[in-house]
Amino acid sequence: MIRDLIYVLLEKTIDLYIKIRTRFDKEYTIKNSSRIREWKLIAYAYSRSSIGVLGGLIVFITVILAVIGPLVAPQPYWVYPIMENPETRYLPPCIPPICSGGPLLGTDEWGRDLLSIILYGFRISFVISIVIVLLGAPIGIILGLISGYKGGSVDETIMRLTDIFISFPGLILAIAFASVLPQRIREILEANIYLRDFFSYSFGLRPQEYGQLAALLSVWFAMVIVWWPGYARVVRGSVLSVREQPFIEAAKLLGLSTWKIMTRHILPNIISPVLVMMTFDLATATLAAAALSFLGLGPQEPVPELGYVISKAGNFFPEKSLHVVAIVGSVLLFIALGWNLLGDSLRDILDPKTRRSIEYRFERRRR
Amino acid sequence: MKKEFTDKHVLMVNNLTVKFYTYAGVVHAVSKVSFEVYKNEIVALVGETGSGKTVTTRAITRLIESPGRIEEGEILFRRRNNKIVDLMKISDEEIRRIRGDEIAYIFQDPTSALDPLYTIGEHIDETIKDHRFIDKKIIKKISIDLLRKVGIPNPEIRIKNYPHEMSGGMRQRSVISISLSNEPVLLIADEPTTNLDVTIQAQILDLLKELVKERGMSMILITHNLGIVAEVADRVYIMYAGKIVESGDVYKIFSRPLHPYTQMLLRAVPNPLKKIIKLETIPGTIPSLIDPPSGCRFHPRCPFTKDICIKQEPPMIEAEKNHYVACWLYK
Amino acid sequence: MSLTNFIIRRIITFIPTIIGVMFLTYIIAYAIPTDPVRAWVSEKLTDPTIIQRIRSEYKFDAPWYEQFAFLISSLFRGELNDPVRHKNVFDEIFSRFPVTFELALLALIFLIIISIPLGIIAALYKDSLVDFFVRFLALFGSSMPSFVLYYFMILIFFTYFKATYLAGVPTPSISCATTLNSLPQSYPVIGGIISFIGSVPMFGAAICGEWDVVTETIKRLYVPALSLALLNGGFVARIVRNSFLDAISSESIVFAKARGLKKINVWRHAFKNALVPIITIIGLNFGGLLSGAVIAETVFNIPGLGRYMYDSISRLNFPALIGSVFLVAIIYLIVNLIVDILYAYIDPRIRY
Repeated sequence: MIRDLIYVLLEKTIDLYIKIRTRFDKEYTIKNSSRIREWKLIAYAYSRSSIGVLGGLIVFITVILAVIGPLVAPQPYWVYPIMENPETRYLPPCIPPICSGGPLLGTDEWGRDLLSIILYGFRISFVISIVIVLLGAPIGIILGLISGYKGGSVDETIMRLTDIFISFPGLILAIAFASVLPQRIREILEANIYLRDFFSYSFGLRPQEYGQLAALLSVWFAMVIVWWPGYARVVRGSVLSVREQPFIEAAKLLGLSTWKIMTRHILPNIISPVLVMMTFDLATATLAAAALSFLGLGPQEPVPELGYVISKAGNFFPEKSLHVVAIVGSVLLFIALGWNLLGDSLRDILDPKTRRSIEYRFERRRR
Repeated sequence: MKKEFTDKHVLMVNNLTVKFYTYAGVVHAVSKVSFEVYKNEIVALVGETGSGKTVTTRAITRLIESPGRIEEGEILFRRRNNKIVDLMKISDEEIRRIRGDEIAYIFQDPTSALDPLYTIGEHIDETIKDHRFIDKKIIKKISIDLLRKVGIPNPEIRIKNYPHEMSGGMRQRSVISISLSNEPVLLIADEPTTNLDVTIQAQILDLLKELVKERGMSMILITHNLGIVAEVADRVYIMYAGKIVESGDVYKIFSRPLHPYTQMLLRAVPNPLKKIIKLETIPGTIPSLIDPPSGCRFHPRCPFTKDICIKQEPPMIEAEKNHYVACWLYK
Repeated sequence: MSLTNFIIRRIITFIPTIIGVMFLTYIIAYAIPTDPVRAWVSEKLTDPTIIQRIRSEYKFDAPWYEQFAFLISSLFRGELNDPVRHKNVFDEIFSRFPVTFELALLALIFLIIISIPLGIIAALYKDSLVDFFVRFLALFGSSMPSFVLYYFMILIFFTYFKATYLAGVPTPSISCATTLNSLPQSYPVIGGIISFIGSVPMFGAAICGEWDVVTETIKRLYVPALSLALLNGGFVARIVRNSFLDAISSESIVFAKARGLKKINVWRHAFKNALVPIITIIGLNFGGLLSGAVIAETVFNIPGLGRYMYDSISRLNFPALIGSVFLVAIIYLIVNLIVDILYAYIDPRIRY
């Protein structure tokens, strides 16, 4: 029953999109009928995939919390209760009805309410992972397209470049950048107030913390640099196999420009594994960013990056801070799980081997 | 119409039925198929893709795997020691012994049949070793002789080659040599020349013909190419939608095709000597085997359909000596 | 086209990549605006002439290409000097790398023990409980933040069961170490090889017969090794499963059955065909482990290469950084090379 609900929801969304496009282009439906059918097929297959729906639910919650988190957090992150009352440090969780009057999830090392910290943390982790993948992937995809399609010396150079980046211990590269850049970024943020405010508010932070923001941005920048080679390699591989197919030759003979061939003909055919990769990467990026913060390379106090919070808690583990590690760790697990489930389901849906059985069930349903 | 397994018989298949249990439903791939193979003859199994030819031959040695299942059937086989066994009833180990030794296969695509990580010599070696106890050196000699026999030059070198180091024709010859390595009684060749160039096709066919005659083997040749049938076969079985619709001596079938399907098949082959305005086709497509047509399975495409064709399946009758057909046009 | 030709050609492609890696490291080092020399020495205690001397010794006055050339030549002469500890960088690196190697090896063993049998069973019994478990493990491994897992493993094995400890790494006795070190002098070639192998503490102890050191090492390192294996195991098991499924359903396996091969020989064919992607993934994993799992080394307090690299960057210790990065890059490339060679050994088509 839930499955039907989800399918109907997705179908309505697709129909809405079609409506809007048709306003601008009367023949949109006709020109793209097979593509539309494809979308509905994918929507149907998705609705039937339990892990997909579960993953989608988790991602949905993550996004909601990421958006509203900083707005609904009961306690601010920049206040250190411990300054006034040393007793507030590492208070254990107090969940009614067993206990009452205390912080719901306990406090961290500065006495800050853990629930609020987590709500701020959702935004930070989410934004970082989204930006890393949405920037790193296109760079890699474009380079991979060019490399695979053009071949020759262009291909060689780009591949050597990816070789170098891949042999280079990624963590080290990220560490190096994260040590180097904060200074530079700090200066830029100081000079440009709009930039500073924009970034601060996107992450749910106050502009005052722009110093830490600089560290956050360096981590992000470092990760983008490390991220693209994977996509370049995968895309190049796919392009190589698609390139020899007759329809590409036909396109060339028709005189289509290289750019058009790459975007209109090659790209749609190789995009499926890339989309799956991107979904999985959102999980990886979330965890990697947390890992870098754990090592102390990202933002520090008072910015509540989840990995950093855990690293601080590690000092008092497990006597006092077990709840911090467990709860914040579970949050990270939760976020990553959502993306991984979604990616798993997407990979199954887009697998050409299981395609026919899905199509068959889909057609049956329509009758 | 249970026939008797005579001295001349090598193989007799009775009422073989194979079904595939898929997500879309039950596919009736082979339905009550019966045929026989005599000593020292070449029998052709003809039909379009999806007619059930391959499944039938694989079922002979129980090579059908899930989701396929052999539902019923009796497969009588005369072993090398003259004993007659029902291949459906013997143990797994016994049928393993028969495979590759007394009944051998030639697959359609030699490139996918051969394991790319092993040399041809290794393929032959293991096929022999798993069936007979022979000294290594003798195996090597046998292998070289086999390769030479199938027309591969420099066999001593070729034996150490990997499949990707050979051309398509050579690969198929290698597959043939592997299949022959234990001097089988029955050879089952599944479209052995479909993936090869026409010139190589002719060579391979000649080779097969020669080997069969020379060694007193029998061969079942699967093909959809009537030209090959005319060249090589002694008898033919025409299959359609999982059933045998016509069978008999090759001359009789070609000179007087009885079943409408056979007639249309023959007409579809263009005569290079005549001027052709339009190619003949058979209208319609093969039916879905999940829900096969009632009565005679060909009735939706047949120009001579009568009422009874839709209601009842026609029995196989002997229209003339050595010429059988299953069609309501004949009584 | 033989295997040797292939190997030679692969080694040749090594070189530009290594140079690229070094250059990248250099750019990173160069891009740092702060004055590293001041970071190396404590500002208050040193007078300007010493700072100047250090600067010219490390050629910080010279233009960037000279600096790069200086670093590379020092590297190849093996004379990179660690300014903070006043030692040759490579001494430090070579004392720390074997520890990382031990950990990586142990983790690899656990990984193989876990993932290969699980993957094979999952392939044979598709959609069974084992198959489901493999999917679950893969999901878990890729969703769990590594450091959180480490903390919990510590909670269980150290705090609760007290079955491990978190300081230092066992090494063979001094007499053993001196004996091993002196071997190359008496027996040049074999002695050199044995001494090299013996530089890994576990192996050195084993050679000397000090088995208690070996067991101690395992006791020390099994928790991080197991954690690392768990994190990657599910993913590898899935690859094993899929690779096996593909191999088993291939036409050449049907042909093998049609030829009447014994079951074990049919398996041999399937296994060898399935092996290639499996070797690739395990090789990549091992390469990653050898590069030093920084987080594991941090949490479990292991004095390995990963931690060293991390420290050297925080302290802007360029010679140390370049030395370690160089080693790591070489290791990674060597592991890739070995994987490629194994690949080519198994699959003759690759040799072109």
